[in-house]
Amino acid sequence: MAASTGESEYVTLESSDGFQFIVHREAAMLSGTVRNMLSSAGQFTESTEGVIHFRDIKAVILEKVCKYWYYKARHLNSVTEIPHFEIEPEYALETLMAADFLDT
Amino acid sequence: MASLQGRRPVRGKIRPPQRKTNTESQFDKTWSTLANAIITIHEQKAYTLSYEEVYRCGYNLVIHKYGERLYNGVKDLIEEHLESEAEKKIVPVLGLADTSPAEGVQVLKAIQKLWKHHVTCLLMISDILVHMDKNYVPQSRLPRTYDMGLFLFRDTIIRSPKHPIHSHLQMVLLNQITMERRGDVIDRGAIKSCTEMLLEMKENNSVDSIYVSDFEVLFVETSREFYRVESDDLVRQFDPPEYMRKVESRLDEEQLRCSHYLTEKTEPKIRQIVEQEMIAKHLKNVMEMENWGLKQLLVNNRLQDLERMYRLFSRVTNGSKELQEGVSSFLKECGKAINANVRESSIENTEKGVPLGVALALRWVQEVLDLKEKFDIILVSAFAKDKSFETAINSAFESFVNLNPKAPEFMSLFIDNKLKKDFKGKSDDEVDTILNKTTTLFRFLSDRDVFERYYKQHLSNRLLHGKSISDEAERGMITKLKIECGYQFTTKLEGMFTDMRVLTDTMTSFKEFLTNAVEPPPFELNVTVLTSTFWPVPTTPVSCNLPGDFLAATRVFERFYTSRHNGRKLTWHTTMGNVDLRATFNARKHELSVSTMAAVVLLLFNNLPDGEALSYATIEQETGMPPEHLKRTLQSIACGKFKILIKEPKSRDIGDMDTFKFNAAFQEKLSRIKIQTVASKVETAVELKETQEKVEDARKHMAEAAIVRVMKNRKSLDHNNLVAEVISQLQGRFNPAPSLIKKRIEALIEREYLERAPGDRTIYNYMA
Repeated sequence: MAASTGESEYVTLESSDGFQFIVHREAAMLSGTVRNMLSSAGQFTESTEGVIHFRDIKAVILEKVCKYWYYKARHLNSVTEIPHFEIEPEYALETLMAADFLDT
Repeated sequence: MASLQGRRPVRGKIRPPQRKTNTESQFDKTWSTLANAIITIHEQKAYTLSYEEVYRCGYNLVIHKYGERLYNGVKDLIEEHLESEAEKKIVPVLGLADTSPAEGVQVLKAIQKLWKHHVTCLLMISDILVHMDKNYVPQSRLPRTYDMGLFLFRDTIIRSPKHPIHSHLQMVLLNQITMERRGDVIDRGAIKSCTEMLLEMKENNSVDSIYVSDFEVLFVETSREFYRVESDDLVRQFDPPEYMRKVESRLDEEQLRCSHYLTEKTEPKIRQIVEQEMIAKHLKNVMEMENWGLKQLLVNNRLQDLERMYRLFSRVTNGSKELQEGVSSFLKECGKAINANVRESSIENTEKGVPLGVALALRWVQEVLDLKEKFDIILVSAFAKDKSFETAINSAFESFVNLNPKAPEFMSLFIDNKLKKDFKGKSDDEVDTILNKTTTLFRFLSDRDVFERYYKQHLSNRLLHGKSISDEAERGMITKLKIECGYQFTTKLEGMFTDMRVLTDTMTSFKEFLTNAVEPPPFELNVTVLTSTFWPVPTTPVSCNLPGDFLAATRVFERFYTSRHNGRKLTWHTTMGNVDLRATFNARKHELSVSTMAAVVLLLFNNLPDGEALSYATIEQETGMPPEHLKRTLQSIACGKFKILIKEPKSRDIGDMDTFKFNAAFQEKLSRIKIQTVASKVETAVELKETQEKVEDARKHMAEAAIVRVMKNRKSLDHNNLVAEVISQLQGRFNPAPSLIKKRIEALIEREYLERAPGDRTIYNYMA
């Protein structure tokens, strides 16, 4: 799919404070919101440019989110015991809000 | 633990997220971004939008409890858009549909185009409002954005209160379909996408699509009207076979229409209408049509048309029943004609005084068989071996076969004829098929006991006169009858065969006996010993004074037989025997093979001087034969093909005052002459009465036996049940009338086999 539409395997996520995270498209698609952004029939700017600008999420939180996607992707369908995903209490609430926004 | 407790504050506290100020101005700002985005989407410029931004707007509005305003705002926006689009794109083409039905497609296309656009936009809008659909919508029990958009399309476009779109849409669709029914080519694709659109949109309950309420109901109604008119026209224009072909193609057409551009769900409804209007309403009409109605189809064996008729009529309730009735009444008519034919000839013949010929019986059976064969073919290839048709046909046969009182006799004669003549040189298979067919006819008979009586008569003639061609065929027939009616039915018939088998042994030992006998008879004697209960012989033999030689011979045999089988009584039946005579005529000697009775008569002339005549009265006196037998015998030797005696005056019938003399001038090429006794034929009225009496008598016995059997078993039973049970026991043989059974019960009470229960007169008790 990536090859046929000229889409790259990666997408760039940009935090409100200007940090860029380049992650696998597949991992980012674990978020309902990101999935809609990239695959909606509307062909929104995000899907054409491959860059998503999150104006409400700070880099610290976005990093946590990215880590979580990879964590989830690795342990999806895993049969062995899943290790704990560590979230620092001071970011907990903001991460939670970001998760709600991203539908992750 | 302590250390853990100590560590907790060190990890820092959970920081609350920054509170955003949420004021009216905030709402206005966010909403206007969103509203602009929706407009952009409607303009098909979504690629200029940032999803993240628009989504964030929707997200924030919902989070800040503006869900309701957001939802309604979106709704208003979409509605507004639809309304303006309707005005711009649909209303202008509506006029086209009014002017020309063919141009109506433009309306469909315009609506279609708007619909497609609307659906794509809706998908995008619901994509950006995902958060609202997931959170606000379910708690407020509202339709999701996408569904809400469909409802809007339904209410503002399809059922627009401002523009007559609804009526136009329906009109165009129906017009198109009517055009196609009339044979025009239409844009099926346009209609298909239109019906798909209607199917997509639901009623408020989200279950039923508006296709049903906005289109199907109307479609069904107009179709009914169309087919009402059409079927009236077609029935008037075409004969039934053609009409049915048209109906069939209409049915196929409608089915294809449903699968091509309507929906499968409509199919049963429209099919039902076509069936109702085109088949059910014209059922009788089509069947009874003068020109190529059911009757003519049957007469002419139009199997394909019949098959089509069957297929079509079976689709509607009562259709198959009506058709069955039609077929059965046709059959009964045919049967009546066959019966009437026989009756007419019989009236003709009885007027002339000629007994009914065998030919008549044969013709009747053959005609019935032909009819049966014809309907067997029709049943298999036109009515799909439908069981109910089979029963209808069979019961029709049954009814008319039994309408002919001579049916049992005719059938027996038919078999007689086959076994005597027709089977000569035929293979076993051919014989078997003929016998099988006859057995199927036999199944239709209700008076089987009557048949048995005749069959016995005919069989005995065949056996005694050695006229049967194939023993195997005879046995085959008996086996078939056994299968049909059971062991009881054929015991006597089989007994007759056994007698014939034993006969050869008896005769060989008789010959041995003769070589040692003191006074052997002056001629060769062959005796057929019959068990009187098996054979249809009169209980008292026909009287006939045998000449001295004959008498002596019978004595010899009697001596022989009683010596071997003590206690058996022999009765001589002169009616059934044959004698070979050597007669000297002027020209030459001839060997005459005649019946015993004829021989007795002829021997009277033996001692007579030449040219001397004997009067009828003298002959009667000398022979002691009853008049009807004597007359028949005289007829065969004086009025037949070979005139051994000359009768004065010459005529066909024997009168009481006639005189006979020996025909010394008799000439014939053959040296051996066989003088036929009167051949088996349909009975005369007197004989018929006799037979009927005998049958009646036998029925009485059977009924009594059945009553006793039942009562012995039950000991006590009420009248109605007793009658019912007796009837069911006897049905295989004949159909007993309840009155007959009642009389038999009374007779049995009289003879003290039964008694009425004291107290309840409807109950009978069995008396041991």
